[in-house]
Amino acid sequence: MHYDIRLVIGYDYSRPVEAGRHVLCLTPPGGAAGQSVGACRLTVVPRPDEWLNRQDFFGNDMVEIAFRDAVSHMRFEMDARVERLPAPSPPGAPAALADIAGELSAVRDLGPLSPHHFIAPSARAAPDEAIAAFARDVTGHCASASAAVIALGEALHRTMAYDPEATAVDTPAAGAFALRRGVCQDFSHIMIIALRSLGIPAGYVSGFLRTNPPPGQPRLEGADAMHAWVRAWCGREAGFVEYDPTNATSAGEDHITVAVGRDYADVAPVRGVMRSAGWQVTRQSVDVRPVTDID
Amino acid sequence: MAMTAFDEMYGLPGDDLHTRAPYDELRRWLAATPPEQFAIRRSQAELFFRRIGITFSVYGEAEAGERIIPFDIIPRVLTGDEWAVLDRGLRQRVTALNAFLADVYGAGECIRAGIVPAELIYSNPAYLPKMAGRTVPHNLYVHIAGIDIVRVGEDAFYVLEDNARTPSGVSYMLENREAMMRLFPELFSCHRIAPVEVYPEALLATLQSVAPAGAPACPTIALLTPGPYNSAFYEHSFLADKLGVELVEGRDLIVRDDTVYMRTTEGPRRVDVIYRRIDDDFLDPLAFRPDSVLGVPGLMDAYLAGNVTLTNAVGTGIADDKAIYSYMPEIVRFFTGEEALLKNVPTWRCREPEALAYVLDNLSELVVKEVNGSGGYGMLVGPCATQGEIDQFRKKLRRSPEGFIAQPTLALSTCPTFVASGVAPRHVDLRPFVLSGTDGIRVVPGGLTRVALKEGSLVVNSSQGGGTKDTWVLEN
Repeated sequence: MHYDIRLVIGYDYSRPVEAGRHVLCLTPPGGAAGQSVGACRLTVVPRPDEWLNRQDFFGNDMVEIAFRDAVSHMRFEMDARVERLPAPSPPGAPAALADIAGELSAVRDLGPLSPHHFIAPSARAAPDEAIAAFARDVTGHCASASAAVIALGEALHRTMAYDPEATAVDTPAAGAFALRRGVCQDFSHIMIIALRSLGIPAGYVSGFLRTNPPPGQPRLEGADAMHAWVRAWCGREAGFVEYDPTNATSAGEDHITVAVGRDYADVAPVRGVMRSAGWQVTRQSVDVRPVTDID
Repeated sequence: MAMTAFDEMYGLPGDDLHTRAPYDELRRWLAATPPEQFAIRRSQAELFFRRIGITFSVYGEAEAGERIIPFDIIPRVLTGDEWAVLDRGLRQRVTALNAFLADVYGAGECIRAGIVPAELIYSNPAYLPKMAGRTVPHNLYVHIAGIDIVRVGEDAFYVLEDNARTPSGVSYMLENREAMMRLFPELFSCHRIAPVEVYPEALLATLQSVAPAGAPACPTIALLTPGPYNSAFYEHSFLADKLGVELVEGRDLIVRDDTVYMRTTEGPRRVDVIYRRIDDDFLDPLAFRPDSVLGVPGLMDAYLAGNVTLTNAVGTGIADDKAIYSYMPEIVRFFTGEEALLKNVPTWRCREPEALAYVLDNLSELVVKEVNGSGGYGMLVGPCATQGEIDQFRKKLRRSPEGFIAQPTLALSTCPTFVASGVAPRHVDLRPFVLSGTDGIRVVPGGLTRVALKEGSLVVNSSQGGGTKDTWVLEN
């Protein structure tokens, strides 16, 4: 499926802010599995004085911008045309849940996407006893790692209510879990913590969702802003599988990847520092449209 | 708790009449000097430290203001031969630490070879993926190391821990010597003591040597401090002063086009080397903790672009992790091809089930430490703990065994020390400082001797009521 993606994020400041420096992680990479990027353009208004293209450890594309002078507004626009292939079936059988630790210590690969980087607690996915107990409860009957991923994702979707008002971007996952409410970021962090508590390496994927569903299918939650889901390592043969707990579905043709990391802190769409003495208003809009005619 | 400890003045107990040779003069001096004289000198020493304002703060206490670290006027003495052994061992150990860090963030040979388990590195909060696959200037990571050494016998020295992040305490080494020379000049005329005053010079030469390629011959160096609320702020200002470099806080630095500048009255001035005394987490809010107001936005970019040298390098915490410590003999062998000259204290890694079972069964005899802890916080000294403390620790250990290591309770050597009742033996350790530059390794003979002032106590950390002594290395 081909998509035209348009993302706009705007900031208005009540008073000009100075010494702004921001790291943007907004553009889908060409190299991600199962997708290819035809064209991609990122525009920043006003024009920044510094513009540096970088790649982080995990291979995500990052842009760092800096303003020398004070600005009173800022706007990022990202347009991309991306082809997303259906999720391939895993290359091999998943490991038994009981064997996952042994499989992990047999992995010698140390590269950025090695599962070793995704098993330890991370900044936004700290271990939590309540989440670990939930994970044990709902996966007790699971034989394989991928069965556990699905059981956990479905259980979260059943238990948690999608509620954009309940949590904020800095709400800890444990807090969202206690409320049993949250958005895609909360669902994903809770699932990552749960998977790691079972010994399954798990990471965070940020990206986009198709805005309008194919005819006859329900609209997915989280399509109006950037979305997030989970990748879980199911053993040496199966590798990483991606699962969207907010919608209780495997990530597939409707999911477009922007970045992968250990949790939100690695792949936050916009991170920045500036000096300011007032408030700010933020807007975000996302449109992910299937392209029916390719010329 | 009764433990047979080696006394550095008298040797093993039962041997009281015999004074070890390096302490001959001191023994005579202690016997010959009237007690009133010592009382006067001690109050003068206190006044000296108060005047120069050499203070530290203890976190988490109600009266968390600034305190004077207790100074004991009886020096601790090492012979030239003893020091020669330590010196060689320290150089070897720091060489291995640097090679280990370059490898962990580079090719990972020691992990592939099975020397250190992968999960111990990659699951470690001190391992920073940001540094993986990157090169740092001159491939040096630990420019300033503080290696904690304990002694348990005539020839038995052990490394207790490696401090590879931002080791502190060197200002006490320097000030203690200064105080001793002022208070007891006569002692310096009857001993040949290796000077420690050369440390600032050695540090400056080391920092200059590690400036990035392309920096001017006399690079601009700054010392980056978290500010006056940090427990070691005195040391930061002291060292900046001794080195003749600017003492800066995060807000004094700016980054433009991957280059670090310092705000000065004459406009921005490029900085080549930053001796930072800020933890990794707080260095750059764009790279690490977003709530850090102590750091410099963009600093990591300038660093990774090779335009500024940070000492110590970012990510060195993985080398002073206490679980990694237990692999140091293998790490030294792997990277230097030699057996470690300085021994490790035998260590049980609680992440290993058999080790954990042993530790749980013997808690009352062991010292248990957090793998990522420092400053003596969060540790259990079994023989000194109450049953309640042991039970509480047992729960902590069961909950997250991988967070702890355990070691036998060592009978640290004692040194004669002034206490309320007169002169009595107290346990000591030693932190020598090792400097690594592109022009070699420099070790100033001596270091910081810390002394546990409470009778029988083995915890020497200043945050836990320890004091310090001047450390003499006698020249042969």
